[in-house]
Amino acid sequence: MRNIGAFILITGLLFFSTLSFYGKFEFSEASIIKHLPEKVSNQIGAELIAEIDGKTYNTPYAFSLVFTEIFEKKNNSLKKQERWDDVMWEQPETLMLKLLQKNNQSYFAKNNGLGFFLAFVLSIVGGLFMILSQFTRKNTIKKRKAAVYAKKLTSRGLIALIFTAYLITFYVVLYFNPHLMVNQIAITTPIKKLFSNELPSQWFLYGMTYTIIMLIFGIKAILKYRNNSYQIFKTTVVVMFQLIFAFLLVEIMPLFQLPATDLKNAWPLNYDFLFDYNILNLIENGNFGKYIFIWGIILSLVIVPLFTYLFGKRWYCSWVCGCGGLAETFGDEFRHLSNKSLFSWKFERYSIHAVLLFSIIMTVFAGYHTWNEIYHPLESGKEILLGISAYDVRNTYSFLIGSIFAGVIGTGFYPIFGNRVWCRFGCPLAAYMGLIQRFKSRFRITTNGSQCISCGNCSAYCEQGIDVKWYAQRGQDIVRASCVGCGICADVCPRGVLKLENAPIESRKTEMPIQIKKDGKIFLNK
Amino acid sequence: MRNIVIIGNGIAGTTAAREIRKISDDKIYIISAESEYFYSRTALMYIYMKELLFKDTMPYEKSFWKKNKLDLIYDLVERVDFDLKKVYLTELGELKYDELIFACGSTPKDLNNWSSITGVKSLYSIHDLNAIESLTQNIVNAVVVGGGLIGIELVEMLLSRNISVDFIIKDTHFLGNQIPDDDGDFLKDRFSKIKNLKIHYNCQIVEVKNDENNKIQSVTLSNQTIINTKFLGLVIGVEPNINWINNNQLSKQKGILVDDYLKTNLPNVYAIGDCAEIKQEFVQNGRKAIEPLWYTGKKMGEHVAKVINGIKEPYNQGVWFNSAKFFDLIYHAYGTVLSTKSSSIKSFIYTDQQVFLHLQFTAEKQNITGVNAYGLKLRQNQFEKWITQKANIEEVVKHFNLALYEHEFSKPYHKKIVESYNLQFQQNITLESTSWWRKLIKSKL
Repeated sequence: MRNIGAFILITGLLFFSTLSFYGKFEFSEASIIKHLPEKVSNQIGAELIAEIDGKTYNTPYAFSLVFTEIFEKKNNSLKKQERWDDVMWEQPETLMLKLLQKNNQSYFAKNNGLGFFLAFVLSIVGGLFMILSQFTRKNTIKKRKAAVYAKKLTSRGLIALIFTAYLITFYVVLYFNPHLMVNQIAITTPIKKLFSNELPSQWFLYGMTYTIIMLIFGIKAILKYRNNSYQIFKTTVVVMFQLIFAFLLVEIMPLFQLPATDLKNAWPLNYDFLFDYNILNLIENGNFGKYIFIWGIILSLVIVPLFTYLFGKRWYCSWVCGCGGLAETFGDEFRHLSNKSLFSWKFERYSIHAVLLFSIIMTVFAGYHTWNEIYHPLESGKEILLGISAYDVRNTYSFLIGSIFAGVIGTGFYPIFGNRVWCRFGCPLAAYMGLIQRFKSRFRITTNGSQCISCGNCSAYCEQGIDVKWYAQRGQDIVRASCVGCGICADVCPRGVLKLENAPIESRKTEMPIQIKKDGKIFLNK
Repeated sequence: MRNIVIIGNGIAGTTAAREIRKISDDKIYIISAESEYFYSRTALMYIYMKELLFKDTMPYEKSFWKKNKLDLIYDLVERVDFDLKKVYLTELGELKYDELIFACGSTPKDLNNWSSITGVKSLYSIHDLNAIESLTQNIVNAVVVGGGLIGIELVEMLLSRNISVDFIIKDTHFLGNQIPDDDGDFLKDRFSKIKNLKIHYNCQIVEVKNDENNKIQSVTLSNQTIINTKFLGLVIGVEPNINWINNNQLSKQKGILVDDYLKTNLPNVYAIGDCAEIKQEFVQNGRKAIEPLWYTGKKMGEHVAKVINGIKEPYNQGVWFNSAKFFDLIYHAYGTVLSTKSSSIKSFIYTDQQVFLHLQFTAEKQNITGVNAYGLKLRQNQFEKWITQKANIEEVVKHFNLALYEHEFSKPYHKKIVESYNLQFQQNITLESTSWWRKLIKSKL
């Protein structure tokens, strides 16, 4: 059954992937002018029409070569002439995406239901076959650990490297060359139609795919950990948060004239909270927009610290957050790949707090600019603070942290460095909650007296690279800023030594003083 | 500055070294012929099952030893001269000692020398594991003899490779006379549901046949069954690894004899861990002279470090505790649970066929004496407290939630245990109820 499932899954994935090399894009003068911003069509409209009117392009890439050449040539000449007001500042990829979307005559764009079936339904069915095949096998011992070193995919074999390359390519195309995915976006139309008649964007494709992956791998995780109540609960809740808050509500809210917001996304993870376009959008939506803004503040400044105090940062990182949700489901079998060395621990503390600092500074810049946009909209230089443009700061953060770190590296590196690279080395919200968890939280992982046999399972499977056994073999509680409370260490422990608990702060055993009587004197010794 | 030499880098020897280093600046040498770095042999099964790599099983990073000035010697000890106070190594020559600690562990029992046949292997060291790995590459069935803790691990290992296993146990149930019959029957029932596993109780191996190349061919059982196999796991127990010590000066019996300061009969010579045998007059109530357990090795290592540094404290075996894993069941034991019925001890058993709890208490004063738990994890600190303070069984049952160490959102076992106790003993213990929000934030630990 597993092999049949694999075959179906690979067919689905291959179809999905090859859609980038396919298409039938035919342009007419009217459709070109209609789907370009006025300024752009003024600059290059005529030239474009002359070049592409009546022509058929069989791949998005072929079209992009033509368009980019015309676009760049015009922009370069405008810049040379220093006609800054005429320069087209839009990303050509965004313009190309729209043109391609609106002029897609290919078979699967028109029969997007069939396209959806071949790419998504096949992949889902294939994946489910593979998952369920594990439960018809002869061996009925209720095993929770997969033999990760027996499979190349989970032990940095060649297929893992290929998979990483595929994931990285996906993210790079998604963020920076979305026009190459115009067909993949088109086949999500059947689902988009459930909510609105607008054309889906690449973000809809991403959100839908992300949610589907979490649902399928969520099922896998629940079946795998079916004897662990904490894991069942946690997986169900985090998948529900993704499905409802990150996907469904975001699609449904606009139908009620409400601004589409992922209500569980907290600043500083939600880094564009104070950006001008976000705040202006909220303001334009009357009272509800205001409520969402206030909710955002309460979430970041009240709820996050309070819940982290009560439960540790696990309430967010393992139960609510989308990044965490993908890590716990899709990334479940990559946990052991996280680096456990002391050097890694030192590095993570520098990198994650650096990102936190950067996000705070960036928010100050963005907030200053937004304030000016609202209260001094006509002032020139309203985005300049201390001689630096808020746009530059924002864009640098968006690109480096938002796209590369969180997206490309965060997910792309699953098969190489484990499932929590972003969470461990980058996420500023994790840094913020980590400080609270380390110094003022009721959460800890207790160790059961002297029962530890130093087998090393806990450390091996800790996705955050914490050397859990170091604490367990000394009978010390684990209170670490990076612990996301996934609970897997407690699950893989063969002697029941670890337990995630909330209890009064004073009861945390964070130091192990050793009292030794020497010549009748008692002293503390480390 | 003394030369402290420790023969053996297992849990006992390594703990002794670490704990001595915490107190003194003496030179410390740790000798091992098995492995360059200390590793946890309790994790061997996970390496075989491809869940861990060998390096994952090392409790300390490689840089740890240099950082703490602990000299590791990867060599075999040929002999010891107690008069000259020298240890003779096969490759590196002689090493003088001021204090010598034997921590050389145990060796698997092989009463009939079956391990000389290819295909017959015990499971003790990393070398055993590597041999088992190659011996079990393409086999379809295997035989494992020895119904103890290592046996069940070996069985689980083999089953994970879809190898059918015949498990030969000489007693009526698994763990023989170490656990009561009620416990044994529960386990028997659970194990019977495992596919590809056939357990032969009350059975022993009478003959192992090999072919002309000295490779194992078949195994004959005491019930006349003959099983053809290419692998026999010989895990009938371990004994102290002392046969290599040819010196009669050192007082030995089954193990190296030590007093309650872990000192041998020779000055400045100690013995800890599996290879040590506590003299009968110092063995505490309910404990054994030889305890080949990880926990005992660790405790002895901690203790000998104190004694070597002049702290005059006798070794306290403490409240017994142990844990193990039988396939998917975690086993916790605290205190003493008698395996044969006694008039002075009463039992309270709770089971829902998924988990099994066996509490024992004195008949006269109803004081808790011990507990065996299968599939139900228990908090050591709590049970140690109860047993030391001789808590009343009713108090234990009423506050059982303090001892439950299960994951959050688990079944409310403490309620079921009280119900069962009330039913069996016609009592009326009631539980305090907690509000839902208190439970959520667990404001009472």
